[in-house]
Amino acid sequence: MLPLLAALALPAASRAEDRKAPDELVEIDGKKPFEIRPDRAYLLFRVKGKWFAPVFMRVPTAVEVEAYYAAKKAAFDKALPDLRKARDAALAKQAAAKGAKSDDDIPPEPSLATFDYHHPDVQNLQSINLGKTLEKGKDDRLMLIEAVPGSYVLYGAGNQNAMLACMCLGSVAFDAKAGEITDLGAVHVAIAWQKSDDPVLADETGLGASVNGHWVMPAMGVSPPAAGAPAPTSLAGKPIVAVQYRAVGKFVGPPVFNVNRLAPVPGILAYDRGAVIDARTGARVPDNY
Amino acid sequence: MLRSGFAFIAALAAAPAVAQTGLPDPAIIKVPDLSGSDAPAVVDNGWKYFFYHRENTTFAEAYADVADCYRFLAPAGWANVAIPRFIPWVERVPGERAATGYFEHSGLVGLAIGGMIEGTLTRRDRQAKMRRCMEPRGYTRYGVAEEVWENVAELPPEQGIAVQAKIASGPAWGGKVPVK
Repeated sequence: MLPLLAALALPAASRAEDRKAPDELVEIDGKKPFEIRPDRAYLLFRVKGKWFAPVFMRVPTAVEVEAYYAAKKAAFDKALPDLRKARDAALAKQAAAKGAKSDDDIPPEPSLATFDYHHPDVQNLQSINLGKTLEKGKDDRLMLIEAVPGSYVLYGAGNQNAMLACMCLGSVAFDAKAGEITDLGAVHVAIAWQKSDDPVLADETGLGASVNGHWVMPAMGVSPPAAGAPAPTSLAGKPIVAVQYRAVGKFVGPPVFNVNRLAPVPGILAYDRGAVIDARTGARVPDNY
Repeated sequence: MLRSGFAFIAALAAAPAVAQTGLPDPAIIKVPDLSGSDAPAVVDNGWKYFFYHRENTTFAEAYADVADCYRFLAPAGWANVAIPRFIPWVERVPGERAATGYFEHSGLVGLAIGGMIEGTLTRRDRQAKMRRCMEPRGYTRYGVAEEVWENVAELPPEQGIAVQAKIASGPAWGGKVPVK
C-alpha cells in the first residue's frame, strides 16, 4: 500500500506551465472517423495487461538537440546567480552548525552538467493514454497512435503524468515513417513481483515484493506481429507495415523509481548477464550513455 | 537515512575519475564486519538490507558490475518523474547524464516531503534497482544488519562501489535472502 499512499500524498507535478510543446503522440479514438495524415507516422499495437502504459521516446533530430543545448545554456546563465546564492547559503548554514549532523543538502558547485533544464519546446518522451483506444477487448487494448515520424525507443512504463520505470537495462527501437501505420505487434505489461501468466513475461516476473518502491515494478515485453496477421477491420485498406525492431543498449536518463529490462525478444533482443545482445548477430550492443 | 540526492549526484559525477586512474587497490579497501549476518533475523530481514556475492568473481569484475549498476541509482521523487519531457539522447556536457533531471526546482521538495515514508521508499527503489541490475549477472543477495548496510550506502559512490565490489568478490557470508 505504501506506493499507493505516496502517490496520493505526492501526485506527480503536472508541470502544465512547461507544456508548450505540441503533443507528439496522439491516441486515435476508434469511435471517430480517421484519415492518415501524410506528415505523421502511426503506431499500432495491442497492450496486453494492465497497470502500466508504454512510454516512448522519439530520438531527437540534430536540430532539436542543438536547440536544446543552446536553450539550456541560456537558462543556466540566467539561473547562475541564484544557484550560487543557494549554495553559499547552504554552506554558511553548515558552517554555523559547527559539525552537528544534518540532513540538509549542499548543492554542488553550479555547472551546466548538473543544471536541470526542462525544455519547453519539444517533449519527445511521452506516455500513452490507454483510455483512448482503437478497440477495447476484455483483456487487452488495441491502440493507434498518431506520431511524429522518426526513430523510437520503447523507453519504459508509466502513466500519463509520470515515468515509473525505464527499460534502461535493455530495450528495443524501431522506425516509424510518415504516411504509414507501423504495426508493433503486442506490448506486454505486468507487475514484476507476482508471477505472470503471460508466457512472454514469465521469466521476468515473480521477483517478490522487494522490487516495489514508490511504485510497483513493471515487467515489459514485446511480441512482433505475426506474419500474415489480419489487420483490424477499422484499418482495412490502410498502409500497414510490420515493425523492424532492433536491440537498444543500456541507457541512463532522468531519475525514475525503477529500472528494468525488456523481456528477451527471440531473434532480436537477448542478454548475456548484464550485457545487451543483438540476437540477430550475437554482438554486444553498446551502451547509449 | 539514505544519502541525499544532491550529495549522491555530485559524488557520482566525480566517480569516473576513479575508473580513469585504474581500479582502487582492494588490499586497502576496508569492508564492514559481516560476522553475525547469519543470524536468522538478519537473513529474514535481508530483503531490505543486503549485499551481493558471486562465486569465482574477481574484484575487477565485481567493481565493473557494481559501478555499472550505480549509474542507475539516482533517487527519484514524485516531483521529478513528470512526463512528457525532452530527452537529448546524446551527451554534450561530460557528467550531464548522471545529473539529468535531478536538480529541478521542485525535486528536493518532492524528496523531502513525506519524511520517513519517503526515505523508506527511496531505499526500496534503490534496492530494487540493484536487484534488476545485479541478479541477471549471476549475483546472489545475502542479508546484512541494517546499520552495516546503511553505513555502506551512505558512502560516496566511488567508495561504496569499491566496498561492495570487494564484498561481492570475497568469501561468502551469512545466508541467502529468501525471495520476497
